[in-house]
Amino acid sequence: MYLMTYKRMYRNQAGNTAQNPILNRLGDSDENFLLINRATAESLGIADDDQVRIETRVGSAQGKARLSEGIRPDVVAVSYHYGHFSPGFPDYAKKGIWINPALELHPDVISGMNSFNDTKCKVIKV
Amino acid sequence: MLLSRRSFPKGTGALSASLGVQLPFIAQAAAQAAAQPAEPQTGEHYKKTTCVHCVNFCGQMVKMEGEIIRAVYPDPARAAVYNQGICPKGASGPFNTYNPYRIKAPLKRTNPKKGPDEDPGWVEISWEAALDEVARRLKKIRAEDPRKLIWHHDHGKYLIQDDFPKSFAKAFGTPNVVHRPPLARQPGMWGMNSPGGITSCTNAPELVGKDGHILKDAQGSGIRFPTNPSLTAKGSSRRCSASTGSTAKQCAPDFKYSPMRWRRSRRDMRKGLNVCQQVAHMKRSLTPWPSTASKTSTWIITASPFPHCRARNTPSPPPIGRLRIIPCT
Repeated sequence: MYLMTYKRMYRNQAGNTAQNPILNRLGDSDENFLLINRATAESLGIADDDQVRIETRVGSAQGKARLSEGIRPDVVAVSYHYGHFSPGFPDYAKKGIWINPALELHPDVISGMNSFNDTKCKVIKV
Repeated sequence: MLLSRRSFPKGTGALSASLGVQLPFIAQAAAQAAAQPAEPQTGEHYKKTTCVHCVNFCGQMVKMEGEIIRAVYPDPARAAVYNQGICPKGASGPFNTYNPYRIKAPLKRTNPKKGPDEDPGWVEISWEAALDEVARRLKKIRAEDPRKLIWHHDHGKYLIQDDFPKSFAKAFGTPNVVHRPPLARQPGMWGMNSPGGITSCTNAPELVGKDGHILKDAQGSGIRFPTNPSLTAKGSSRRCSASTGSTAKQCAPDFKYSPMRWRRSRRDMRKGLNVCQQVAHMKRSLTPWPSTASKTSTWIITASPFPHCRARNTPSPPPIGRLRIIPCT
């Protein structure tokens, strides 16, 4: 499967919204998840909120699964913004998946575009 | 050195005048700051401002009570320009502003070890101490070689353009002002696999080396695939030429302004080819950008002409081929 990334409207790119109490109380906005197609998830025995591990050739990350019909069966997605580890943050601001360790670095030779959306991965139920 | 909020715009204006550089946005901001009443407004009132949580920079109308922010709303006067509403980040902005843990003073790292498991050991220092530290380091760079300074700015460009960075860099003596989005992010705006958006001015030591490190491996020619010629191609060519004294040329596959050309370029892309072959396939789509330094049309292409794809200070790869591009003016 391919691992791609995206952004949610509840956090900005930096960490300065991680402690915003309003943003953290808008449903499930205080953490992110692995977005996976429902049919794919069922074939792997994965249900909503199950802990899953994303393994790539360069690293791995772990977090909750979120099933959806809105994503291709051969693609999983994890948003940015979450999984902070700065010691200055309280625990509630560190929730979620930090996906960078699992992303490969092979910029496109023509465009220079980084590999935000084309890392091959395996998804394993923990 | 102490700078007040009012003396800084004045100094900026003087810098602008001395360099002969136009700073319209900063000058406007300085004029507005000078025109602000000295006494703060009291009672309930509204102020226009701009959200800075992302590059959309939505127009906001902030409800104030005295100097206290009470609520943030979208600015109806700018609804047609920006979004019709604002997102949760903008609406909840006061909870960032008034966060008791918000950092309001400079922090200095005291732990030299770096890593996810290392506590940086931040220690709060005064603004005077922070400015002195920055000034000390800038002076050291300037004494060694001003071109070692790379001004790399980000989203702020959309608010103030890059007049101030250009002025500062010119006064400092470095030609290296880099803005990230035209270099790396623009391809993402039209599809992640689109070609374009490459320049070679992101790796400081290679760029500013006295031997013209980047362009030396291409024997005096540079190749870039900028997506936005007005923002990237022309500027990066001048920067590289100025910093190395070489004769950089570049071509601009101008997808942005021509859907037909964009489709043709996509069709011309081939997987599994090296850069030289890719360029050959894309030749019909190339739009030579007027060079500021050279008329030659022979480009020498290396296996890795894009320095940010290489680790810093690694040996330059040998040329793998030559491509003659016929200017199609």
